[in-house]
Order: sequence, then structure tokens, then C-alpha cells
Amino acid sequence: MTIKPFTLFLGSLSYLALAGITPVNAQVSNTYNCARMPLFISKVGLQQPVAIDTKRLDLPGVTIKELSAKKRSYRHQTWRITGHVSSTVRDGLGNIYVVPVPSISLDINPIERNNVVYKIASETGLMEKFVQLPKPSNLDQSNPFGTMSISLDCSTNSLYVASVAGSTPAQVNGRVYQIDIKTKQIISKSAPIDAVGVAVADTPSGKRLYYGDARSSSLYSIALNQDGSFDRSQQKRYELSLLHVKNGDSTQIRKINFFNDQAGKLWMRLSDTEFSFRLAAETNRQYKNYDFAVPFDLKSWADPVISNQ
Amino acid sequence: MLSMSVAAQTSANRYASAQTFDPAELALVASAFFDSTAPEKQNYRKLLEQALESDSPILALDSLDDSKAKKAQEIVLADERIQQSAFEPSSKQALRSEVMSVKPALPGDRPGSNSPCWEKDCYRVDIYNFFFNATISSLVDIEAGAVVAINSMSQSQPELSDRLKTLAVAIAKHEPAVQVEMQRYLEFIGDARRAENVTPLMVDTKSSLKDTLCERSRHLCVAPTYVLGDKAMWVIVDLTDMKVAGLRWTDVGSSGPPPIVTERILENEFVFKNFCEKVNQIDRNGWSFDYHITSSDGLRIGAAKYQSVPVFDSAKVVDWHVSYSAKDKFGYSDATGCPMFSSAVVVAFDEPDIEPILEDGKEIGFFISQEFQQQSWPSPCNYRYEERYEFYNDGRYRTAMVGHGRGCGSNGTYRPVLRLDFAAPQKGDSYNVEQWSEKWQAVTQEAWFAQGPRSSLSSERFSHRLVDEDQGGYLIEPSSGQFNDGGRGDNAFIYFTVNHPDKDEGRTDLVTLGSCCNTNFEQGPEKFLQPAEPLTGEQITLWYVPQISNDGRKGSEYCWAENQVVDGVLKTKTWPCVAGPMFVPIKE
Repeated sequence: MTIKPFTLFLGSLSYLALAGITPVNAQVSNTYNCARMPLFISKVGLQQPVAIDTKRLDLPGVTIKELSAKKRSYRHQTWRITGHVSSTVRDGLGNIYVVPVPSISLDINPIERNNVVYKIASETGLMEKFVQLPKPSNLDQSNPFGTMSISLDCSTNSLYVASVAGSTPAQVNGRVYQIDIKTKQIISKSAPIDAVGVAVADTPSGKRLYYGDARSSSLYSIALNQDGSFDRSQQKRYELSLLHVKNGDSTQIRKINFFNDQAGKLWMRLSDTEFSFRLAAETNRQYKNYDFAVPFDLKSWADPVISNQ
Repeated sequence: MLSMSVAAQTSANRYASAQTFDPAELALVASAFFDSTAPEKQNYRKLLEQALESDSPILALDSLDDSKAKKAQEIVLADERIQQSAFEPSSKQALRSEVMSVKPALPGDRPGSNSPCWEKDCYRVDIYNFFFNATISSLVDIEAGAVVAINSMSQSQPELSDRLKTLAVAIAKHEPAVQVEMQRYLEFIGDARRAENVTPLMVDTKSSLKDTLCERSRHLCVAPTYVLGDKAMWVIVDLTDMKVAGLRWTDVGSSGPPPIVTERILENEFVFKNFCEKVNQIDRNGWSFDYHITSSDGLRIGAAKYQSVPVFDSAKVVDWHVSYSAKDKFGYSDATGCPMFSSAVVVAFDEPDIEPILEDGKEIGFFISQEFQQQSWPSPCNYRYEERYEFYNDGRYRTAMVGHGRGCGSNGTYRPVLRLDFAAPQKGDSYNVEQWSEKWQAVTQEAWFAQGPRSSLSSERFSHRLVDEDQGGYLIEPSSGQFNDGGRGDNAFIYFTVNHPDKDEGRTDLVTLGSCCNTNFEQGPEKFLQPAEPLTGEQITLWYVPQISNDGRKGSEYCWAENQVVDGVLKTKTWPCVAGPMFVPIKE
């Protein structure tokens, strides 16, 4: 299977490519289709193509790396503030958005700073706190997590940020927040759900937000209104579980991508991780990508093509 | 001379002692103490032994009716590449491998006109390699008598053979814990049947065997399932170790996706519900205390009393610092704790182990021990730790910290950080701390000490003592390798600080304390020494940080672990390093 460059992932590196984006098909389309190259990339002298690396244990946070033989990397001094982070999204101006996700220890990801969205400005490369999500009153080490992942719907200029802050073993207190990237305002929030990975897709029946459940290996979706706000009149919909596929796993879905292969066939890639509301620092742990052909009815998911991340 | 051993207990007794859950809540059990005595297991073991001792260790299917299938199996088993796959590459030891299925190749097995089997009479033969947890699929051209394609998939498990399905059901049926649990539930719902008369529902169909995973052990597992009323009992059977790995009830017919119980899900829930959310009590051998697993400070022992007299209020290992000498400041600060909802990175997979300590066949005390592990252990840079508290009939107790490797290299030093709050003494308001320096000398202010050589210790054993008004109390005996547990000495940093009732200096869970990689006394507790406060008249906290150098050299391994081939499957051998002081009551 060949995948178009804008959705190609090499381990934890995501290509930054000029978005020659095409809609996935008439039935379902990817709403993250406006990502542009940050302007500061050329100003700091990096040779394209470059990639964003967010998984370095020795250098937590965002690092931009050349993919050419020179393999130079760049990291602005303001980027240290995040500690370990999730994967990133970029808007149509080249601004990068990122959220902290603790790993290994809370020394560099203190709990009180784990429910924040950061932005790296396209022009300057400066990182700033973009939005502070609501802080629950019960923050403690038993759940050291807040933000988990971030996604962008270019058609509504909405960031969707999953947070599990304040969730307890007995109580789901997480939310997915819709944030207007122009006003920095939280426009709406989901009913309580604990989500790890999130992504938005346009479907024949309207927009849906797909999310990986933090407490199981399941993928669910919830309905959005046309303006991207949460339609809380509808129940969440169970889609599939990694546990129910042959040679699947009991892991959680940390990343969701819709993409077309060269034949125009629509796929959904789910990348997994083990998440049980605790820190994880295992080395040599092999996680998987699950590529599901998106069924016409968006319900009859067949067994995926599984590959190592 | 102390020799410690573990008394064997029958699985039924151990299971009975583990029934801490309310029957109404539906049983949730995950433990290593299951021991099915299925006769089918003995027969299967004999087959395996014969195969592993032969030149061709792959166990063939013996129930093939189709002559072409038989031929396909013969062709595959004669193939040199397949034969090689059944031996460990470096040691050439035979690996447990077994043919799982032989079937006519389906269109999906020969995709596209380029496939060697596109228009031929081909069979697909699936072999499972238990050592590598891998499936090897071969396509056989029957007419040509040749293997035309081999595909090996790591961490992949094929459909089970009928032989293994039968074995799985037999192991479940003969597991005493399954019978006990089922009887308990039958009585709970008022069903007059006896458990031994209940078989897995739909046992003759595939659906009685649920697919499941043993993610942590990477073993081949399946779950015979007993349906009783609106409940189903999953019995996870580990076919690699040939024993039950866990039991769990689920609801039948609930909405949403059908539940699947796996090794990791079951272990996490079991440990979390019973030992993280719940504080347990023990009363044994004159000792009583409570215990639970913390979010990030390992196994915590609290309110420990001997003969009803308070001894210590709290003991726990707040951090494991690991540093490597090859690279400056390279290492980790590992927190141990609960497998869910915690800030630990090395977590409990199972319950604490509570066992007697025997000397010359006589029980002289007992210990409680909790292991913490990363799933990828013993691969490099993954760890397994053990925190063990020993309680002796004569009033001694020991806080032991054990490393099982394997770490990132053979030049590592482990520095676990023990924190212990002494209880108020029996006589007087507080202990006086004294240090041995040719005589007992008062330690009047918060301070740290480095453990000296054995010759510098009182009676060549004791570095410090805590003395009450009547000259009672405890002597502190660091390890110099005298405990006959393989320990090579602690070389410890020892700190005494005030245990402020109104100030939390580590009483509750600590995130991390100190740098991973300092090689001096700056292991974290020193921050509570500044400024040094008077100890006199105060309750005392002891911080004890042994320094344990690992060793990976053949013959002198210490804090080390290696994978080995045992009976054709993967087993991990460890060379534990044990550190920690003994506390000895001062006798008149």
C-alpha cells in the first residue's frame, strides 16, 4: 500500500510537506487538509524536507529535523516549556499546535502544567501558551495526565483537544474541547469521555469526531454539528476494537488518520500505545499501525493491515 | 546461619487464602498460583519431550485425514529452512514448535497471478514457535513436492490445533480454583448443581474457546468460557506454561462490544482493586501491619507492631535511582507503583507474595514481597524490582530492596531510596539516635552518614541505634554481605531527619526525589537536612540509600537477567542483588 506523503509517518516523525491536499473521496473526507509549512523553517536555514520529532526521550518536546543527509535539527529555546508532548498539528498559516503528555516522570511535566495547548508561531518560531484548559480540583499523582492529543478541522478552524484531567478510576471526567484558533476561545466541549487520540472526518451524515477510548481498545465516534460544535443530543457510537481484530492488542488508540492511497481508496490508520493512566517509559516496546479500509457504510470494519510503527 | 526458603503450598489452599473479594462483585483473580493437574497435560508433556529430544523438534499434527494434508505436513517438516526455525540460532537448542493447521490454500493465501500457487494445488501449513511467539506459514505445492513460500510473523499466533483446544479445556476443567470459584457462584445464585458437573458451554464448538491475549508473558493463551445464567467465567489458559493464568466473570449479553479478558487487563484490574484501592491488614508471627501498593512509592507498610507495640509507622521505597558510569548523568529515576492511575513507570503485575521464612525447617518469621516490572524486561533498559519486608519471630525486621536487572549496561549503579518513619518508643516521647564511632555517640541534629567498612561497625554489625529512656530500642545493621541472600553489601548513605507531624516531607507519595545520577550523598533526602534541625525530642525518619553495582560478567552476575531456552520455551534467569538493613531489638 502506498500512502500519500502528507499522511506518511516514520515512527514518531511526521513529514512537513506542502499541502497538496486532495479530499479523500465523495463519501468521507479528511478535515485536516490545510497544514502549511511554518515560515520560520526556511528562516533558520533548515533544508527541506523536514520532520517534527516529538518522541525524543533525551530532548523532550518538539524538535525539527532535516531528513536530508545533513540531518541537522532545530529547537527554539522557548520549546522546552512543554516537557514531553503528543504529536502536533499545523494550521493553514503554518502555526504548530502541541499539547503536553507526561512520560517517564513528572519532573519535566508537572501536573499543574499538563492541561495546556501551546502554539509555535509560524513567523517567529516562538512558543507561547495558547489556551489553558479548565483545571479540575482533584489534580494528584493518581492521574498525572491532562491533555492527550490534538486534531484540527480546517473547515471550521477548530482545534479539538482531548483531555483526561481529573478523571478517576471510578469517574470519567475527561472532555474533548473545541477551540477556535482565531479567538483562542473554547467554543464547546463533549460530554464526559476519556479520549487518547482524536480526529475529525466529514461523513455523508455530517461531521464526526473519532476517538480512541482511554479505558479500552475501542474506537468510538460522536456527532458534531456543521460548525464543529458537539451535538450532545446523540449518543457516542462504537466503531471497532483493536482487541477484536486478528493479532490485535489490548492497547489504546493514540492517533487516528484518514488518508487515500494512490488508487484513491480511503483508509483509516490507527496507531496504538499502552495507556492505563500511568507513566510509561519502556524501551524496545513495539507498537503497531492498523490500517482499516473505510467501509462504505462506515460501520462494517474488516480486518486491518497491521504493521509495526 | 540463616537459610531462607519458601514453603510450598497447595494451589487450593493458596487460592482459598486469596478470596478477598465479595462474591456479589464477581470474581477477579490473576495470579501465578494456579496448578491444574489435567492428565491431558502429562500426555502432552511426554509428546513434547520426545519431540525436543529428537532431531526434528517440531511437533506434527497426528490427526490429519486428508492425504494431501499429510503430504503437505511431511514436505514442510522436511524443509531445511523450517527445521532451522526450530532451533535457537546461537545455542542451537531445540525450540518448542508445533504444527497448528494444514489446510488447502485459500485465495487469500495466494493473492495475485504472481503467486506460486495461483493455479496450483497448494496447501498452507501454520507452525507456531513458542519461544519466539511467532507464526511460520508455509505454502506447499503438492504436485511439485516443494515449499514455495514461507512467511514468518513475529508476535503472531495462529488458530489453535484441535490437540491444543482439547488441552486448554482440560487444564481449565482440572484447575481447583475454577471449581472453587464456580461452586461459589452456583451457590450465590442458588443453583443446586455441583461445579464438577458444569462444562464450558458449547464446548464442542469454537465459541466456547474465546480468543485472548497474554500480552505481558507473550505466551499462547486461549480462554475456555463457562456460561452460567447471565454471567460468563473466562478461564485464561496459558498454553506455553500449561496452566491457568487467571479467572474473570463477565456479563453476558450486555450492550456494546463483547468483552474480551486478557492477561494484562485482568492483572491490572486485580492488582488495582485489591492492593491499590484497598489497604490490607496482616496479623502473623507476633507482627501486625497494614499494606498497600502506592501510586509511586512502591509497596507501603504502615502501622507495624510487634507484640502489639508500635515499631514503625511507615516504610516504603520512594525511588530507584539508576546511573551508568559510561556516560555522565545518564540514568533513570524509576518510581514503582500501581499499574493503573499512578505516576509509576515500573509497576506491579501481581499481588504481594507473603511467605514464611524457614531456618533448619523451622518457621522463624515471614516476609511480604512485591515485584514491579516493565513489560519489556529483561530487554535492555527495562527493569524489574522487588521490595521485600521481612519480619522475624524474635522482633527483628528487615527492609530489603532487590534489583533483577537488566538495565542499560553492566556499568550501572542502583540506589533505591528507602524512607522509614519510626513509631514513638515504648518508653519516653522519642528515640535518641546514636552512631557507632568506637563507642556510641549521640546524633543530636539531622545528619547523613556513609556506611563504613565492617570493622568500623559495633560488633562488626551495627552502624546506628535508636534508644529510648529505658535503653530499649533498635540497632541498625546495614548489609555487609552477612545476610546469606547473595547480597554483596550496601555501601549505603544513611540519613536521619525529623518526622514533622505538620509538614509532609515524603509521608505522602513523592513524585521523584533527587537526581538519578548523583554518585554522592545527594540522593534526595539531603534536601530535608537543610537547615539541620535538632533530633532530640522529635520523631525520627530514616532514609537509607544502598549503592549496588551491577555486574554482567559470566560467573559473577549481579542485578542481572538473561533469557534462556528451558524446555524449548523462553525463560528468564535472574541474578538478584539484595540490599537493605536489618533492625534488631536492643536486648537488656
